[in-house]
Amino acid sequence: MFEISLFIEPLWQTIYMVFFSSLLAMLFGIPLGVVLFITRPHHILSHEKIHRLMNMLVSGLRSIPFIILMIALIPFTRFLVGTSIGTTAAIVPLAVCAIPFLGKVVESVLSEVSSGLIEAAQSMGASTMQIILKVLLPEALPGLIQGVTLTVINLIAYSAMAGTIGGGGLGDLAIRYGYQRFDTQVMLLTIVILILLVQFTQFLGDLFVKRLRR
Amino acid sequence: MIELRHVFKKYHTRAGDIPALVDINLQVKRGEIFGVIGKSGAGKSTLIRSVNLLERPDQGEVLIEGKNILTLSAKALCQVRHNIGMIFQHFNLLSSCHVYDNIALPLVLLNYSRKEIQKKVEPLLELTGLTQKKLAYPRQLSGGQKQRVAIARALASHPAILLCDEATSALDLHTTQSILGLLKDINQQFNLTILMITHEMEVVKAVCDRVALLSQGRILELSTMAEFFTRPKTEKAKKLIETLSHRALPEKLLKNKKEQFFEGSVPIWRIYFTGNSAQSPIITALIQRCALEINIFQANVETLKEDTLGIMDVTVKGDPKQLQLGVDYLISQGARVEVLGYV
Ligand SMILES: Nc1ncnc2c1ncn2[C@@H]1O[C@H](COP(=O)(O)OP(=O)(O)O)[C@@H](O)[C@H]1O
Ligand SMILES: [Mg+2]
Repeated sequence: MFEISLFIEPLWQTIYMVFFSSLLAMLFGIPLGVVLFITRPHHILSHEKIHRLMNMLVSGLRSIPFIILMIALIPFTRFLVGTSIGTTAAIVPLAVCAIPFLGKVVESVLSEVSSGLIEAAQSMGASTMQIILKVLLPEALPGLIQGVTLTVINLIAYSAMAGTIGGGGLGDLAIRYGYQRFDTQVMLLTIVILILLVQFTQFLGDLFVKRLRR
Repeated sequence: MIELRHVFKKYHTRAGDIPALVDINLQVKRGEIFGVIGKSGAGKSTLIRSVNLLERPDQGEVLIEGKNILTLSAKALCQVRHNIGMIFQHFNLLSSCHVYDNIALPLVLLNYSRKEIQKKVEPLLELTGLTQKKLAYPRQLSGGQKQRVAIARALASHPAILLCDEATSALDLHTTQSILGLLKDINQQFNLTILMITHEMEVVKAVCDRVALLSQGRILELSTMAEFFTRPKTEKAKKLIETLSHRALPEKLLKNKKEQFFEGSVPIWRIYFTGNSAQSPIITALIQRCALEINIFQANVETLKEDTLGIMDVTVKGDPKQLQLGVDYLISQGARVEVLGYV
């Protein structure tokens, strides 16, 4: 039998990694999505060059598999946090992976806001910033929350991969016990905990969305 | 109040350039309800959107209270837009906000305090009959109620001008009437200048003081309501007004009708009369004075904003001299006669 305490530390590590990388993803991903959206052709801040550049960057980053991104980012991570090993260090590649993902999701969520509404705001004399803050984001809020939920769930999955390069967390536990020691029980319980984490995140997201949808 | 001078606008599409506005000139006076009517694709939306520069014309001048707004900075343009309310066919309300917050939006944009906002929104709720619905969300409202919210919102910053882009086209007849009534009310109460575009002749008839007919980006006709219906200046305008008014002859007559006189045929007249002549017993006089035999097959009296318009389709039997006498008499009574054909 194993100690239940075996799971406590890795669980916290996972939550720590996912929480902070999600925070960073929102901090940068949402503005990125907004910029991607408003610089589209014929849009409120239409700018072809910026739009194309951003788009290229985003799709470039998104096409790199996470495991490779993680390794490729090692010098960058070391520069930022001083080390490339450990839970804090793992936050860097996780965030770098999540930011363009959320950005793309936000762009597509914003495009669901009716263009008539944006025009109505323009006709009222709203500035670009006001349109973003008072119209676009509030109108898209349910979709934005769904996007963030999706990002967090992805980050839970990727955080497990981060365990392979010394990131710690549940992924690391599963590899060490399940893969290297053939401890099926630890493996199974890790899976259960991961499922519960994902379900809980989804539940929270759905709850918020339900409250907002009226 | 609003003036467009030599306004041109082209859309560039893959299929080529679309001239949406071609040398548009018009002037809307303070306190007036001005209508622009035309078929779908005529350029109506482009025209009205040029007034607050949601669409920038390629050429020409757009003057609001005498100032050309095309030369303004983005910031100054926002200022001008606070003075121009706009409502739309599909209402364009914030679905995430309830009625009160929707109406408050223009005031929030102007950074008014909560208290000031309340002081302005409450009377608007009353004016538009939405006090009960203050905390309802758009999806809980009917089309007419949504348009009322949009009107209240458009009025929140006390604009001098209201633009209506097909404001009643998504509404049923009854609701249309009530929205038009509301627009007429606020036009009078606040001396609000209203520019409205529509493809429905009924709307124009009910509320407009003057009207412009738009076709393929050009103004074909611009006149007062009574003139518009009784004596359009060009043949093309006349045809279009008829199409837009759905004023067709009965099927049977249309089939048998010939353009030219033929042996034994009688003419079909369409008689338009306005104002006083609409009330006088014109037909009786025609029969008695000119000894014509008249068969009325459709007649219609329509109420314009400040006038009545009678339209009567008749066949007239009589010799040419009598017929001429009849036409002269009608003209002397301020009516207009149009020969639609012969049967
Ligand atoms: N954004 C646009 N891009 C290209 N063509 C357009 C655009 N908007 C309108 N048009 C074209 O311009 C013409 C006038 O359109 P519009 O002003 O919307 O007419 P209306 O409101 O009278 O139906 C139409 O032929 C329409 O297809
Ligand atoms: Mg239109």
